[in-house]
Amino acid sequence: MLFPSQIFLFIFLPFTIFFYYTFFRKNRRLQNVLLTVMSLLFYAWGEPVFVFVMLGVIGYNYLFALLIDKHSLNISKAKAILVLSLICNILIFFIFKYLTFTLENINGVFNSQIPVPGIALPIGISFFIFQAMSYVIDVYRKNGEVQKNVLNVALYISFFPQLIAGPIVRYQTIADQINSRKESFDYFSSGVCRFIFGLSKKVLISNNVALVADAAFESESPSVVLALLGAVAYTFQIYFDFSGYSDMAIGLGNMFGFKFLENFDYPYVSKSITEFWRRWHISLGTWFRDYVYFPLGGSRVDSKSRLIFNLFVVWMLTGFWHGANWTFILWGFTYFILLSFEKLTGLHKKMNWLGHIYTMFFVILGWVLFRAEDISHAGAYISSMFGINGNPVIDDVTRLYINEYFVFFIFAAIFSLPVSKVVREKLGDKKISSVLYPIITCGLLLLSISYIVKGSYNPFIYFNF
Amino acid sequence: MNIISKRIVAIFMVVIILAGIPGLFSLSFVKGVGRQVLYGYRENSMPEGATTSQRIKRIFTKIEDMIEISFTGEYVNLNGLVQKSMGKKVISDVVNANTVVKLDNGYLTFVFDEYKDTAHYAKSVADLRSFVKNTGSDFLYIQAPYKNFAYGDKIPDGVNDFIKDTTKGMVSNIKSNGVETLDLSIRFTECEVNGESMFFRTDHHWTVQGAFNGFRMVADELKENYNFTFDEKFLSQDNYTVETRKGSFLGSQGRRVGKFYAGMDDLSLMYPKFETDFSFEIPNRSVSKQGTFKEVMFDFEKLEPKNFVVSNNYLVFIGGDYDLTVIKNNLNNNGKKIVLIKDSFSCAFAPFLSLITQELHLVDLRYFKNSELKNYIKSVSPDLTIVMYNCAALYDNDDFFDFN
Repeated sequence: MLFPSQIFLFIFLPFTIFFYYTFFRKNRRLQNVLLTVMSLLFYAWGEPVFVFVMLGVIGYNYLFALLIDKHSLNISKAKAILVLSLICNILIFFIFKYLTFTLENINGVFNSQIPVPGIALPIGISFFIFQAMSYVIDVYRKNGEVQKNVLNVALYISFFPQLIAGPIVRYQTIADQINSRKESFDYFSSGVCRFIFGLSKKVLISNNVALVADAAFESESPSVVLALLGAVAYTFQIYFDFSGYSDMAIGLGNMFGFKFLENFDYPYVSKSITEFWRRWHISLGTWFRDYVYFPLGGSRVDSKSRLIFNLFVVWMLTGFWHGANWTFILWGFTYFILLSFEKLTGLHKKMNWLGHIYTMFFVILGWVLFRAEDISHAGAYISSMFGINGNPVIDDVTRLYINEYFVFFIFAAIFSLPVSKVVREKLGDKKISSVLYPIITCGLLLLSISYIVKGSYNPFIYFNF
Repeated sequence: MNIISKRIVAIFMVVIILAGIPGLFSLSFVKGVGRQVLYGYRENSMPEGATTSQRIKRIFTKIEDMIEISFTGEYVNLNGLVQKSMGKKVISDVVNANTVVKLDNGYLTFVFDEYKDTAHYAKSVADLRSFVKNTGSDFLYIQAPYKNFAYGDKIPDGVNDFIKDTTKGMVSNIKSNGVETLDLSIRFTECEVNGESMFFRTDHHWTVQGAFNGFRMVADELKENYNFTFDEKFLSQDNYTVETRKGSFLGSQGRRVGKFYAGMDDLSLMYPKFETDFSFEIPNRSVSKQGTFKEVMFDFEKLEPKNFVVSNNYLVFIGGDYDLTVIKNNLNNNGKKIVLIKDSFSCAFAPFLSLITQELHLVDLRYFKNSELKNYIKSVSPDLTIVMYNCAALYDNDDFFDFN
């Protein structure tokens, strides 16, 4: 089930809110049960069989955390249990996400005939596995109290706002909120507004520029301008899609009294790659920082080679986390090179306005790699972007896409910048902002719904032909 | 930001969502869900080797597709208005083949972005012709027109459309198989003739003027090559009354983009001023009527005002598509018998054709059992068997050309 869908907006969400704030209003435990059950239903709607995989992950992580808590005074025992839990989580993650890729490559390299199973990838596994690991690790580190009630663990791991696309909610940031959050109409209202902005980003901007990106990347020989346009389109698509989903997740959390941390901070204003990764998918970056980079020693190591090694591990894992394809591994490796370069030279601290160009140049190329089907496709596409493969500079198809979608590109460019922040600061509590804000927000909601309805609207053409 | 503003937004969203909640407890929805659960799991349309998860997901997807929120039409209208204000000419659709393109003259159309090889269709038609000839009947393949032929040069640059090439290929294949052919597609080169529209602005069909124009061309062909005799008065529009309902019709393309994107169509009905007497039957729907052309050829219930999401005014012409419709001209008992294997373009066309026939049997292979077609033709023993499809049918459905 997707947030921008009729079934979510007009059935799932109102049903959940209604029961949460009426029949279960005075009982926190029942509220949590409701949210857990609805979250499992939310997941099962898209993954009717894999929901049991998630239940299994919840179950064994719950048990591991209890065991760690029970042996908390025996550090070596607790550590052993932690390691075992991590092995189980990584094994599940590996089997579903990377086994097929690994075996295919082994067969390719060694000419072997190992049978390659066709394993489907459960939606959101990258997120809920990492959240599960976060839970056990934070219990081990005593950064959050162990949950005796398995339903609370289930709620933390499966909570529907952040289940499919993050942000990766760290257990320590939410532990207290499971039982001790405070709902209010003002907080609910803020959540609604945040949700609407996220919905608009996804439906109005991302879904539309995606059409340009798809046309460019699926073309066998895009013109130079179309290739450039497609790369920029995908740059916008992925930002507004991902940050839009994060906004919706944060807003939905607010509606039920939860406060999640921010996941994006206008990454395309960055002046260095270092800064970019402090603004992009913050929850993933901090997860790797706190659970991989810092335990390896982080930046506070004695030798540069050790620093490089630490960065290498983190960025290869980051690339790999995104998908089982050499494109993601190369993408991660590219960022390792750039970040190592910046760390060793201190360049990221000295950047001026040229830093924006430098950053966006590599970020856009990185997204081309990310979007491409494989490395050769990425290479061919980048060649098209630079006019190396003999394609025309521009053609009718390109002009059509420019004419059809330039409005979306303009809005995407504007809202990639912290425009709304600046406008809010300038207008402050002036009366005009009190008038404009609800008009614009309500307008965005109606527009978004119109696109969602149109996107699923398939009237029966009785006289089709 | 002022918290009051946020509260207003929250209340607005609650109202909008409550207003849109679909009727989940209607009998038709409950039945539909039941059908999906009971039969969807076993449906043969799933590919072989489909897993349990895939089957269950498919059921959920089908249930989701059934959900239609209240005010769907209004949201589609709003979306169309926004698209129009941005000057969009290409409106993507959930079904890619139904992407709507606005021509430079404001007409809407579907486009066909790849060439289709129709050799196997032509062979099927040729095989049917052989069968029909062996029964002693004549045969004719009529290529009905499509809007894109008339306005091909008005398709926006950058939009690929191969329907002309595919149609030319089909007609050429048919002819090279020795089949008698009448190609109307190359004759409908204008969307308007003497100020009358041959095609709807928002629908893929021809208008009643277009259908009448097509009838005249077909009638000339039947007179010249098939020994049909009839009064020339049937071919003169002066002998017909035209009733126009202005701005009343939102067609197949318009329904996908709302009424503001390209406006609405006029819907004209045309019926003879001279005397007529017909028997009209849809055997498998227990429909049986007798009366004048106006009384039997139009289903006026279909013109009652309804939400455009659920209505289709084009159904006024003979009530729509059914497996079999039989029209008998009680004033032409010495006339010829035709079996017309058709698509929806014939709905506006067949009433006129029935004026010059004794019996007209309309067979729609989307609903008629393909395997019973040849037996039916034998049982009717027509003077002429016609296959008439519009150009877009070449892309749509293999059933059209499955005559076995």
